[in-house]
Amino acid sequence: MRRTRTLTLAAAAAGALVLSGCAGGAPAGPAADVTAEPAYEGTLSILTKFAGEPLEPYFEDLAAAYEAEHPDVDVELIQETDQSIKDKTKTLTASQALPDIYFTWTGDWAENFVTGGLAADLSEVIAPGTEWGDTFGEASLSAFQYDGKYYGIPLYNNGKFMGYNTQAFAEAGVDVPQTFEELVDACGPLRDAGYEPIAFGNKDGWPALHYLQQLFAYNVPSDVLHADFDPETAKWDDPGYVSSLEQFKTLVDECTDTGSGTNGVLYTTAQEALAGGNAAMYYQEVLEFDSITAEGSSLSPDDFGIFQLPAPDGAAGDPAAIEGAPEGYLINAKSAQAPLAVDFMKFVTELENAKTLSAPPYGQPSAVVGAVTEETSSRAVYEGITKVNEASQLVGWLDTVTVPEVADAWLAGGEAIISGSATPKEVLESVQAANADAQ
Amino acid sequence: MSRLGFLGAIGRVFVWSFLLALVVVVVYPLLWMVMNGFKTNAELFGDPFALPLQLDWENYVDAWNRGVSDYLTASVLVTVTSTITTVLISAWAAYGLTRVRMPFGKVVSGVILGGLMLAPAVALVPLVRMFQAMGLYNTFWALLILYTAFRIPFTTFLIRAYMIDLPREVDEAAEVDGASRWTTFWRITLPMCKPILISTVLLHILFAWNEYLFAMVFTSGTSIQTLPVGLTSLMSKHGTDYPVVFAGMVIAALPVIVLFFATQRYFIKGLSEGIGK
Repeated sequence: MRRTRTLTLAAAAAGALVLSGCAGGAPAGPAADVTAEPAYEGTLSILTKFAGEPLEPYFEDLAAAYEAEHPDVDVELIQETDQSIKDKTKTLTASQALPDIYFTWTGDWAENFVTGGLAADLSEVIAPGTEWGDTFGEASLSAFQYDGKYYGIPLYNNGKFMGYNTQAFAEAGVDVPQTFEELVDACGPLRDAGYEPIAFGNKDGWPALHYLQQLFAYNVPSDVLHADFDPETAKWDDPGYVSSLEQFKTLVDECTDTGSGTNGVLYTTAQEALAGGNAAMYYQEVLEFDSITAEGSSLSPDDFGIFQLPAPDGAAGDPAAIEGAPEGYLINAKSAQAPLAVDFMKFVTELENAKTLSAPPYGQPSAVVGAVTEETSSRAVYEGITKVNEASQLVGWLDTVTVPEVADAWLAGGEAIISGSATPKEVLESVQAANADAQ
Repeated sequence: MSRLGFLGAIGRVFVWSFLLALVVVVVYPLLWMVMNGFKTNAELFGDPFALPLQLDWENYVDAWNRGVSDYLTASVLVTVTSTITTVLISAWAAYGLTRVRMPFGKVVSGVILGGLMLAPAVALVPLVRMFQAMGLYNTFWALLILYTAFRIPFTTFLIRAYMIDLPREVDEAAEVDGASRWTTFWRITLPMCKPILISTVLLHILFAWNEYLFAMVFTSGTSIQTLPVGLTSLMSKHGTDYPVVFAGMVIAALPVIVLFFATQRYFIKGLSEGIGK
């Protein structure tokens, strides 16, 4: 009896603690006026995704330069890594402590902030046609466009390309493939020449989705594909999906050495296989080009070439679409420092600073027009970004353009296709079921 | 006699080979980590199990300079201070709960032990708001307060359970000899609780050294981040320099290993006499 009472008391105490923590939400502040003249004083907080080498110094240098220009401004940096930024952003959002400027991906992630009223509408200052807006490529701006309004400041662009070892191709006597079928055919000669044709590590799940989304863009008519990203209009029943999944399976079986065990291979292992001269090809983002050929790797920048993943013959979709998306920053709609935040981001995206970002060691191709040049950036980055700019359209990463339930279904589906535990049809059914749940 | 000896020898061989196998299982991964700290990324991925080709300390120096020295300082500082505050406050609380008659004593015990049921993740959001309002967010004090507050219920629970069974006659004898409460606590009760105190100190050190969630949410920047969070910032989505990460992990593990060997005796004694009581 006594024990029961103590337990009840303990539970009640715990309950009270939880409840008192949840009580009371601060009233929403007035909407930020982003066009106002900035007052150069006070603290400006920024949440970046640039923690760790080699990116960390970029914002530190900029903050120091900005503070030197405006001595009454104190820039407070919260730098996170790709892994930790999701949890940090969620906690700061929930506790209404979101910084004045914060990092965002495109797609579903940014949309949540827009619909939640946490992203300031920047149309008046950054829409195409405005002075600031014209410094960016229009495609990067519209990646952050929702309901006709522009919210994001794109910092750098990104796209996915097949990087290859030109020497390996020469030794095996194969040319850069023009169709998906040629790519698969090239794998035999490359293997005979002693190379792993395509290095592929899918331990994290998302690398498979990068292949899939590019194949979807090729095989599925563009309007159908875009309708499928929204749970309300999605059907996920186009025959192009099944053929994409089949092509992906062929590629894994024929061109990788790891085959059905690819799910256990680290992304970095695959990256090192190309950098170390053991693999002939590796599917990668523009952001990685400079680290593949960095000092210490046996692949020199001269031996490194890139090509767009070739489209299958007679595919029904858009063969000129490239998978990729910019990443950028939003300004907190409730921030009292919004005008100053805009001013700081204008400073960050000045051509000079944008060029620094696009050059080694950072190698993040800025979304500012004219920042990526042959002189400042490496040849591969320049070539990749030119192709991104020339693409008919940019298709965002599959796990960021879909809602979380559907993205999870695709992640599981991609792994199942690789290991052979599910057929393309079964994977598509699980995606349809996930979509029905999300509606 | 000779037969028994033969069987005994067989038994010994088995026991020895079993223990040796255990040593390999435990020591090899650690050794692998140390060795890979000497390689380059290409060597590591080219032949993960080979011995390093050279023994230069470049990666270790690199890791040290890339923030591990700061993370280590922060970790040591937070661990030491929060251990002292947690164990002392808990010991006082346990003494009060077991030796002092007070009104609503049961309620007070219930409230303190109720803290055990509060999952840290649940309290995260209100805590961030509170700490921001108080200006403690992203400071050393945030971690010190959180680690102390969240470990007091468990530590008090352990010490209280031990103190309840200590004979009250000793306290009474002290009282008869003219000792005040204060003296009784410091000179009589606390020394008698040594085994459980050692156990709680060890448990708290392990907790504070490895804690990730609070450290990740409440701090940013190299100056106050602790090792578990800091080491992840050595890794990136594309192109992690793994040998440097391994070197950082070795540096992070060293203090705990040294601590273990230095206090091995208390470790075993503390665990067997304290918790296994």
